[in-house]
Amino acid sequence: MGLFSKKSRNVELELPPPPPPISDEESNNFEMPPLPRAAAKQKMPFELNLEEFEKELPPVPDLEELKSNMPSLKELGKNEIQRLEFPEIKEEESDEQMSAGPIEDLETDKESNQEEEEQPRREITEGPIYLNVGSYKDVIENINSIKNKVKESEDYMQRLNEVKNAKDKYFEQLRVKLEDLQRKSLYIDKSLFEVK
Amino acid sequence: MVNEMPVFVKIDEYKDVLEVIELMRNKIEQAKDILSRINELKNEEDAEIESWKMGLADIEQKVEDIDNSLMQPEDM
Repeated sequence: MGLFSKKSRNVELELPPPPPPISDEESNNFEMPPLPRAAAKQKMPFELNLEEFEKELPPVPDLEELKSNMPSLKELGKNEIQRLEFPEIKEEESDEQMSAGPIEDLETDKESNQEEEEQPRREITEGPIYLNVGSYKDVIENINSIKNKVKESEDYMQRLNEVKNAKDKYFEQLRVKLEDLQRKSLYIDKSLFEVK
Repeated sequence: MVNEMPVFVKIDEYKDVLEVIELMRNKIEQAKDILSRINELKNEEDAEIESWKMGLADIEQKVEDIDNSLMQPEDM
């Protein structure tokens, strides 16, 4: 009985938090999206005239008349209902599994197809090619620019290495200071709590 | 008329150049990956240093507390 006594209590739930305050500008400019029915009504290309539509339909048959014409199940008897015969499905004797081939990764295929579509295919010929002088100049300029950037990268690397060495030096100094700090704290501990 | 005639430069090792460009692309991707990893390590290092700094500030506060306790003994 004690188990069910708690169920009769009214549980008061906490009120949900109030919605965030809306400024006057937001409330004036706020537009509700159109209702789905209203939107569907707007999109209707034509209006259906029900009266004309009903005229085209055939008349509804009288159900009582249909029932009186139909023979009852008892009159039909069980024998008159033909039993359907289904052909038996023979199991395959061979145990060999058919391979459907490797599963294709559709996403990667799509990506590769997109890349192929984006980049026009270049035919790579074995022999020499002839490049326009303008394009050739651009290529040379780009190569020089790449060389400069690689040189800059080497400079960055050297500077980073210097920073790393300086950092190692500071870390070593910090380690020494911490060791000193530890020794001093031990000394204070020993001085204050040593029983003489 | 002579000035408008197009001029072309013959490049013999066209296929080799394209292969080298592909290799360069791969190297650039690898370099980008390494830089990204270095950046991650740097962020981890920054986080560790920040924690360390906070720990050191704690130690400093404790030292101050001990100093205050020792310099202002309560009357017996």
